[in-house]
Amino acid sequence: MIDLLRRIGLWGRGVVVAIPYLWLLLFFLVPFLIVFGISLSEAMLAQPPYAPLIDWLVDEDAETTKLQILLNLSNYLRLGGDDLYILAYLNSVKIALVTTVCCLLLGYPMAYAIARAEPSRRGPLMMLVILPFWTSFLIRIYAWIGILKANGVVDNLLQWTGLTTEPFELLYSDWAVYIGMTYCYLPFMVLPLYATLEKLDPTLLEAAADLGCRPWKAFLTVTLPLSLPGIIAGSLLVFIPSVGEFVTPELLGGPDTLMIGRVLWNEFFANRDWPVASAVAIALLLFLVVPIMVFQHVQGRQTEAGR
Amino acid sequence: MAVQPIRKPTRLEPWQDPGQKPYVRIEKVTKTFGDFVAVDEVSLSIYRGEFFALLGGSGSGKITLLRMLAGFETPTEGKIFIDGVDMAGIPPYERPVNMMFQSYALFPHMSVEQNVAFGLKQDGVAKAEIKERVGAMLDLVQLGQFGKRKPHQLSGGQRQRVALARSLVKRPKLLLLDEPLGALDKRLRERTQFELVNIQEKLGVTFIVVTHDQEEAMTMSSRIAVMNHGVIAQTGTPTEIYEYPQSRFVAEFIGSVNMFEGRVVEDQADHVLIRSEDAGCDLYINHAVAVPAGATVGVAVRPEKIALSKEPPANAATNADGRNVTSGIVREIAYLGDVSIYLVELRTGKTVRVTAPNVVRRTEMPITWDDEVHLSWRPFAGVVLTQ
Repeated sequence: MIDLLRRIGLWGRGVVVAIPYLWLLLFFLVPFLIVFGISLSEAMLAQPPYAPLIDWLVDEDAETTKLQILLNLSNYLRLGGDDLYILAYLNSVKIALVTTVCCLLLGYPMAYAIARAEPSRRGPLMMLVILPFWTSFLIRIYAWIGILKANGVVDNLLQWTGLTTEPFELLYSDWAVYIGMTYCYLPFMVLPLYATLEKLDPTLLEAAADLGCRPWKAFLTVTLPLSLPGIIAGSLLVFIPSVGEFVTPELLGGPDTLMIGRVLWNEFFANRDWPVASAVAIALLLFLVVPIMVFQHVQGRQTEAGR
Repeated sequence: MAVQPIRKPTRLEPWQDPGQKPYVRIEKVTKTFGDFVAVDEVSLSIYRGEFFALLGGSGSGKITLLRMLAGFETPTEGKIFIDGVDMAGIPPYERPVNMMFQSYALFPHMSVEQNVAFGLKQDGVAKAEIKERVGAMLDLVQLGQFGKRKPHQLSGGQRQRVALARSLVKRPKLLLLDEPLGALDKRLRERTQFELVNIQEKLGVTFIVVTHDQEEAMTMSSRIAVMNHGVIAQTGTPTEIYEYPQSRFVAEFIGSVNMFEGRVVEDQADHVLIRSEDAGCDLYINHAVAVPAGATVGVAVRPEKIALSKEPPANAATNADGRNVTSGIVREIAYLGDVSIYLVELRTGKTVRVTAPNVVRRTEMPITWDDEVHLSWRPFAGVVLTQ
């Protein structure tokens, strides 16, 4: 057996490489193909709730057996034809973009401060960034409900300071979604930014100062361009999962917070229309392939430049 | 050894001219980091057009001193004047000084041209002038065709020249160089040493260079300050530092040296006589020292100033009464091609290092291992170390 594997080059180094590939094949490619298949079928009241793609038609009168493959493209056409889906996609992108920008604006100063801190303090500071991951994501979102709801922490604070007199509810609005998602994804922005900023040679800033460059301008002409790979990596790490985000808008968003994740959930569980839900998922994936490819490209260039 | 471009003494050297005002004046500057004293009450005057070397080992405070001149560190005590202006509170970006960093610190995201143009852009120089000056500077460092390349596409020597061009393009009056040749291989170093000296003379810029390499300091500089533990041990021209070291540290730091201990028995205006147990003979030196008779002093004799011979030296005039003549047995010979190093064990048990040029071919060399040899040197060879 081992001999055979060895002969086809599947031993030693081959095995090490093959295991993750096998994993991806089983748990990514196969499910993807199943979902893709479902997206091309027709919904029906059955168990499972869609028509099989491939069917053997046995006609007893004519004594023939036909292999029937039915490809139903109407699910995809529906995505293009119905405003709901297009609006949901656009709104998802908008929310993801706002989240990414908020994470960048908050995360850059954080990462910069940590990277410039005393080396002995960097570890504990990074720990604080990662610490929230130690508790359940859902509990943290529920905590935000307590903070943002009417008569919650924020509301009470505003009333106490006299800024508002009426109960004020942030919860169940787009604002709550922005706050919650920025909070959730901030570490994904801080980590790659910290990695690039920490590697930045401080003598480059000294050189800039020496050549007559003021600190603020040195930041814009040296630090910022050199941290661009970190900015791109962090932004994509936030943007890609944000587009498909479901839990945060579901718990913090209002009924009119339209996001593609929610639409998908509704199609799948409420309407039990698996084919349309699958088509939504496939479309979302294709939609995100572009930024993912940008990410891969940047990563590749980064490793190349690091050599 | 590299050929040394000895500076032609065409004019009175500025540090000997009382009418000259120093361009850089460092007054009792001290810098401490916590408990550690990096620079300890250093005072220095450096003149316009000098090529001044700060020479010392790691932790000698030379780099801290340089960084204080550039403005990256603030003196704990003391004052620095550049061109008569007190530099206290003036940030690096407002000082009339440029620095060439040891790591070169080239901006990796900019091309060679953009790197060199960076400083001019900060000053708001017109675009056409920037282009012209950058081009001229790149030609000067022979990188005319490499303007569009990124730093990582260049060799170490080319990067070094970009760094030099970038720090010179603003026409600073004072250029600080931190181990400018440290990252280059030996052959390239020797060539670049000459280039640096030529560029410095062509542009008339004052250079202050920090180095741990004594050969580099000797080759390039007009004056050297040898630093040790935050203090300047000696300042002088390369010849002064090498031929007349004032302390044991300087004598041992620059080149190699044989140290003899002895007691002053005769101290006249034109010579001293020192009785040395170490050397096994009396040491006669043709300069006076200001120490009381009977004091114990050190005498330094450079290895190349000692002559080896199998026969007792005939030169009776200088070696009367067996002065400056001793004998021993050759223990080790290191053949370096141009010279050989002999380690001779004296009768007193002390080992003395002698270098001699290989005038004849190795196979015909008269002195070999375990030979009994005589060592002798002239009255000017020894230096009495008073510190």
